[in-house]
Amino acid sequence: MIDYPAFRESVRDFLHEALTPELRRAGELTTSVFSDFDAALAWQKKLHAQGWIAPDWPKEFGGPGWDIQQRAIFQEECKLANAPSVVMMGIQMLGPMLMHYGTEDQKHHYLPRMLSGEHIWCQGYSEPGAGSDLASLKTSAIRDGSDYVVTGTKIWTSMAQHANQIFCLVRTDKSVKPQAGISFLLIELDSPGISIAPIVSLDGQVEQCQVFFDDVRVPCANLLGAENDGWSVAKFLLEFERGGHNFTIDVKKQLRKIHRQAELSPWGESTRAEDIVFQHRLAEAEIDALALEHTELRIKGAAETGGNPGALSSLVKVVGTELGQRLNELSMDLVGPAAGPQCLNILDPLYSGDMPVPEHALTTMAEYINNRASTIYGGTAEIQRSIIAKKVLGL
Amino acid sequence: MSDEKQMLRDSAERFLRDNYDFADRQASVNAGEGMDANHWRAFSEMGWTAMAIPENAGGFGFGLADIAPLIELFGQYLVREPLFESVVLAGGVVIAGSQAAQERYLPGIIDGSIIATIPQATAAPLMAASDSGQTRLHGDLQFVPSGGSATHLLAQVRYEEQLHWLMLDLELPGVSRSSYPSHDGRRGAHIAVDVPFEQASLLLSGASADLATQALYQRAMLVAAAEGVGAMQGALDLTVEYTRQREQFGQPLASFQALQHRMASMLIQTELTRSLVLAACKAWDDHADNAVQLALAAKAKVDAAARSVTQEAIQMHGGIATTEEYRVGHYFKRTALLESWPLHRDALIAEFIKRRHP
Repeated sequence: MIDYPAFRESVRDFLHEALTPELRRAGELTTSVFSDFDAALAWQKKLHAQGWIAPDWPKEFGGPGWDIQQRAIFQEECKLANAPSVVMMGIQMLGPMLMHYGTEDQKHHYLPRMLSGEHIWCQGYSEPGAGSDLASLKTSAIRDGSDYVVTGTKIWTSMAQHANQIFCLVRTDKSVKPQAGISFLLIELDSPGISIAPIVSLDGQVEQCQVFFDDVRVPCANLLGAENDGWSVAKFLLEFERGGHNFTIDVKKQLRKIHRQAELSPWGESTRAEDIVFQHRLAEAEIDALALEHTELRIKGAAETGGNPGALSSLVKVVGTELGQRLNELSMDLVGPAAGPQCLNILDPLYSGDMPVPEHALTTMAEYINNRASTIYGGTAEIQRSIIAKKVLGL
Repeated sequence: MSDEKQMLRDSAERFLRDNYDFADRQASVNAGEGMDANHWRAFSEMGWTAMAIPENAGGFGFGLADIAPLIELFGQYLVREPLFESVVLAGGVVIAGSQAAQERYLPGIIDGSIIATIPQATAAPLMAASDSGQTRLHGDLQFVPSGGSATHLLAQVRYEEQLHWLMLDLELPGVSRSSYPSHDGRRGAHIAVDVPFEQASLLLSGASADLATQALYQRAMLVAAAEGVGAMQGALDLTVEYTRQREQFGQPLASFQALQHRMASMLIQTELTRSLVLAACKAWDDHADNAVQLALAAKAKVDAAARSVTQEAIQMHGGIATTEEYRVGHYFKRTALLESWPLHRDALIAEFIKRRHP
């Protein structure tokens, strides 16, 4: 029997020790799924030294060997302690695919470097003309000797400006139906012929990029899975991207923040904490949060056997992201005019100058803006509903 | 609509279409400017700064219902310059003031040399108090919209147990501004005031100042509401245009019925909101009994409808809408900031409940 309370204590002790004020600050100032990159990398190294960087991985590949409940406890404690988010495209997304589809050489080469932070991965799926209709992607990989020659462009590649590796969906056969001619390639970002253009997001920060490939030579050994079987690899991965995330923890953290903001937001002679109208609205969101939590638990219970969450991950993704957006709106209602200033420098964890915005309102507008993307990336809310209609309802 | 008013609308539409380029706007925003002085000059040359000023004071004497279509256009074109703050809001208080006050400030408002803004409805008034024989005006105003670009601030003052309004020159020594870029491409400011106070500088005092305060913030609601309608229209138009040309799964997005219905709902909300805002402006001009009730309703309706319409616009565009260089997200950001201007929606609804007739 695992002593879960004792485990939770040991996680707390570690976090208390390992999370420096700068790292916690980076966590507090996180306004999207990504934290300040330097802080995220520093945190990754600390977790790696502790052996806790990949909670979901099996022990043989460097995981800590925790069960599902320990993993949930760890995630929750990290979030609530304001640990920065580790860049997830490697360990959370590509890692499980490598274990499933990778050759021994690939596993041996990539997995340890992914854990240590030597390799920072980004995801090359979407293209300017292929968003929801991902299978229409055009970036091509043509075989030439022992290499593929890759030409095309990928967009919305988060963190490409910091990454040194990219996993890509590329077209290797144009003669068959779209899904059947796609392959999954692992590419070094410093390969000749690759250029990266940052994209400024609506909040003014750079989180995403467009990556251009101009006759980039990639060894055939970098193919993951079989040639022309990339679509099944990608689908497997997308389900992990959606289902691997624990929305309940994010929601709990947001709710905790909203309660604090309500106490600090004046309302007549008192505060929004005592405003029944606002509290009613908040309670409705809390009830939906409970429903989400118990749905996640139900799904996780069923997946305990190790199965892929499948179409149910679509349900959780829709509900988790849309509820998150609703909570952002509640925060906006609380901070009022303090949402106005767009001062990027104050969101830098190392910033120590004047504050044009009270502490409790610092990230609210940026979160409100950035979270609009949560129902777009990883498969839009529309695509998720289509998956539910097709796979669950059989329509 | 009379010829004069139709001309205003047409010329405004033409001017904004030909001159208010979104890429130029963004270049100016990225250069740290909260407004464009050339645009401001053009607005006064075209007479827009004189619209709301009575004819006997050198203006056109247009009511809010006449101006609302222009305000909508400003919302649609994402205009940053605080024209209506200066002309309709601050100007409105000046017009309610003494003859001397009008002579002092109206020419500047009309010729554009005064760019005035106003504080949040919840802002605490400045205090005028005597200290060792000298009376000084002091206080802090937080989150003043366009406070970084304005030349003047219309400010409420507490002096000898009464509230008053005055026009504060923001260039005076003793006024310090900490300005910041705001998410709507403007520059807001926190303004700290510590200057000598002269009673003669007051525009309005006592009961007439209290009336002016109510009128000011009711007008501010209507101005914000009309701008919100324009932003909704802009977001809807772009969404329709984009989904017509964007193809996925071998067909334009606009051909999917699920999306068509959502765009139809956006249109329904935009038109409902527009009706309410125009009716509220008309009621305001006519001093109708329900004018205040309608102003509260109009602004509260815009806050909810603009939030949902601009969010839908982003969602239906997809990734492109989350970028700074694409226009649609800016409607979302502007309307998000309008939600708490000049007063938060929850406060408007609380007021609406109080004034509701059984």
